Amino acid sequence: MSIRVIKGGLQAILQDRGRPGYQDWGVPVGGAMDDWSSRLANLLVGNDPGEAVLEITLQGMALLFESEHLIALTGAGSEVRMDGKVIPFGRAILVKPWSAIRFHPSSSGCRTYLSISGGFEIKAVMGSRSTYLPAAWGGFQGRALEAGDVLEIGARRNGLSEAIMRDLREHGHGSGIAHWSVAAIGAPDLSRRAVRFIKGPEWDWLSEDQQHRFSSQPFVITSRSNRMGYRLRGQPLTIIPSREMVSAAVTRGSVQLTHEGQPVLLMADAQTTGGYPRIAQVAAVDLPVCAQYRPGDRIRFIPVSFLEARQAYFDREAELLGIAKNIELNFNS
Amino acid sequence: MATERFFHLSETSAGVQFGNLIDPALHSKVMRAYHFFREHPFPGFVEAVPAYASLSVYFDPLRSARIGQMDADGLLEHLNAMLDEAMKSTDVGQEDPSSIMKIPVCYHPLLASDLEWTAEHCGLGMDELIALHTGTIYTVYMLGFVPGFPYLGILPEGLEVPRKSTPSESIPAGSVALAGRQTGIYPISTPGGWQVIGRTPILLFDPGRDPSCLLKPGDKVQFESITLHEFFQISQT
Repeated sequence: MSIRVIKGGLQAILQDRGRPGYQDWGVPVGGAMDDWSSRLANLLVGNDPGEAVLEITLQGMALLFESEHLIALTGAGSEVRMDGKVIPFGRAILVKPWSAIRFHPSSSGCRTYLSISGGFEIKAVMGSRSTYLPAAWGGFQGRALEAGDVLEIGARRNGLSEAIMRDLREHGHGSGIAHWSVAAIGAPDLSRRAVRFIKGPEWDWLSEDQQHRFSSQPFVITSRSNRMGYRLRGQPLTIIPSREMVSAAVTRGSVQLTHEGQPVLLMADAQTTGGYPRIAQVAAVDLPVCAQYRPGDRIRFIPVSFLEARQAYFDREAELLGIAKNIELNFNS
Repeated sequence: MATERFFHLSETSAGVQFGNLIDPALHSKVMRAYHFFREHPFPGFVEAVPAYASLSVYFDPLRSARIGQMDADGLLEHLNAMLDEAMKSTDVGQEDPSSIMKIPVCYHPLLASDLEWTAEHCGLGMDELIALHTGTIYTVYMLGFVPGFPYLGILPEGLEVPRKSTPSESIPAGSVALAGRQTGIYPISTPGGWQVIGRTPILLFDPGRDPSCLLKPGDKVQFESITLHEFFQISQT
């Protein structure tokens, strides 16, 4: 029960929901950049939403499946072909033994997620299978996958995965692609070019004029962007009179303002503390959108109240619970 | 009653700020609150993260929502009440003065790219610099930047140096460095902007070790000067 990596592509790493609980030791939480898509991918194959998935950045990866597997693709940023034919995102797919899957360029998005029923057999590090690249630990040997790697797949599938597989063998019309998908009204629109934010603790350090400048102009996501954070570039913002702060907590979604007046948007591998003013906090529900931006894309920030952001968070979580329940009801009856 | 109040940091966290200074009195408040929240977790509590003069509390909002009938401000009120309790109590955050962690450091230009520059900048002889750096008992104010990086203070005035204007591309693991009134240790090789004056052969963070992290918030630390020979002897074990 294994998958062979034929080509590693730009960057393919294992991620789950991260390792919270060690931030007081300076350990970033990490986890999938697009947490919505990684959880959805798991649900589609009957997995627990916190199972590790492959996070594939853009194109280039090629995988060979040696035995029959149930997989799902979510997110964006690639066109995926199985034995030459394009396969859809957001559906359970039964992969036949000795099938090859390749990730080709697409016009938008950045990160594709591949889940597999049974999950990846990888030892957890500090409670998580997430790869932490800066310290080279977690995931598969602490690094991105390379040609020649062999990924072991868990032998024990749960009843729900088995039921989905049975259904695909009987009704898959030979393609192995599920006729059903999940219609999630509350799903993030991964092509959005604007994200919502709430005021950060140092928002008031900006004059009204500068606050307006932050929320009225588009920022470019520069090439100096990675899983830790995105360095943005726009018309610089200034804090007058200039003020210094002692390091305080930062988290995924925090927008810090550097001394050059350019914002940095912290992402999944965000450090736990930072010394730059935290001018904004991107709404959690829009972080999957941010995860799908590519360097060169433009981003705009729209102010919302904390209560709006919090309600959207609850709605989003309810949506995901609803999807899980629906899939279970359909196959476990 | 504590005068400081919690505010929303994100949907999944709240913060409280005791000041905006590197100061032992402020930090002892942070540590009190840190220990109190860890010892009295509320529904949905995930973790408490201390910084120089602030504390952040992370939680699962779906579980914490039960506090205060789904009311966001109800949660803040609950956290404030806990904070008041923490500031009243005397049995938390008390450190044992006898437990000072000794960290061996080799102060040698071969292992420390900025040692000579720092000595010159501070107008100190090498022995004076080492005596100043090893003669202070430091507090771990917080950990951050990368896993296991301790922010130690307060550095003696005579060793105050600015950060590098352009950060080094790669600072070796174990590097002991200075910036402002802080000193710290790089647990892994990483880009960094502090001035490197020495190197420790001790592994500060190892995810396979229990506990993974050598130094904890609030710990007391003192550096001990070792020779190059001792450095490589310890490195090999």
